[in-house]
Amino acid sequence: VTGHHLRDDLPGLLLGELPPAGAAAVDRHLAGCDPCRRDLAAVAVASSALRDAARLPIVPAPDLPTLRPPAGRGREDNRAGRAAAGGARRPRPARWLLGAAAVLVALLLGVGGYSVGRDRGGQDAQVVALGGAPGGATAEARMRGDGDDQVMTMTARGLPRPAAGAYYEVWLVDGAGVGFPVGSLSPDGEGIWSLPTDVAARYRVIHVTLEPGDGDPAMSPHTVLRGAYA
Amino acid sequence: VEQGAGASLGTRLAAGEEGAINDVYSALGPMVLGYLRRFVPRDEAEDVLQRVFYEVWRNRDRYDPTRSLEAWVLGIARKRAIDQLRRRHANVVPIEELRDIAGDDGRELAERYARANEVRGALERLPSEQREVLTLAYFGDLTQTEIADRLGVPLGTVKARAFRGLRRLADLLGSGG
Repeated sequence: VTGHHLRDDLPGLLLGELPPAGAAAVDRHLAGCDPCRRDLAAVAVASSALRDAARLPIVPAPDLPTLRPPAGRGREDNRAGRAAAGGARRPRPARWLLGAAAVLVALLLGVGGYSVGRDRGGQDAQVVALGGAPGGATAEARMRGDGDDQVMTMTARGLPRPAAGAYYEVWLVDGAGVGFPVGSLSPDGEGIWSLPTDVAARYRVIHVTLEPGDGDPAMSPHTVLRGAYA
Repeated sequence: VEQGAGASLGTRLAAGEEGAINDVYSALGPMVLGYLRRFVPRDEAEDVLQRVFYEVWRNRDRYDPTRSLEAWVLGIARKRAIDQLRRRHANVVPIEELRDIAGDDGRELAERYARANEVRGALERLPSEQREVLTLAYFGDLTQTEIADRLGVPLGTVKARAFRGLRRLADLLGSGG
């Protein structure tokens, strides 16, 4: 068995398809051939990765539902639409993305009627006071309905500057302690976000947590401010 | 998702590029949905799927484009799957379900899904004749002899394609020795 042909037997060896005599020949060759041993190490990793990939089901693309807001807004409509359409469903631009983009643009340009600490019209905003921080830090959140969306603004005062990489995150928290991420506070303690109304309605408490910036998207247990809203 | 394409998607997502979230959803949604269905019923999995990608978009500024997009998205999916289990079981999660999340071999299932997606993406980058042989061998459970019969080529050709394909795949996966 030449080295060239023997390398071609390595997949069969890994798949358990080589007869005993063939496996013994490969073994003898490998004992004295560094390049083939390196090849074996490499193809063994690839073979193992393929085996693992083959064991995990990945849903075919036609089963992917249309991307939509997460809180069930328009859920029945969406499902009815999917049933009527039948067959493959392709993702379409989500409305909540447009809303979020609009708020972002308004923030960047400083126009559009949204500004931290001031409500458009100033009449239907719900003001929530957040406290509980040992150092006396406070925050004020304003929730203002805007059709299907809620615009939430927050201004925090007295929060210590987080360590490098850390940041403050705002969450809506339900009775089971499960948090819905709203967004991060800016370094000066301000933020403005757009939320589907159904999301805001399902939660009752606002938390501000100190997040370590370790890439873990889960809610940190270090709540520094909290406040309930109606 | 092809590795290069995954990196490009991640860069676009991190930059907040318009349309990036839909492309990420198209590319990774099937994998994430398959992962979520391991833990929660089909209809709930779809709701959690939506929540995951909502969070992916909201937290895009925290994504490091130099790291695996698949792993990052599946990390979020794992947390949301656990949230869903907690909701269903009033904060008590049966140990069997947590074991499922860890996977049969003890590794995080999310990590395995991310890796599997990278492997499938790398497989797509192989020459078609090598990809065909490896797909039939590993996903079709055919022996090399059966593959040779099916393709109408000599067994030696199948062996050579399998070796070259695996060797190339190892390089693409960063384990080429």
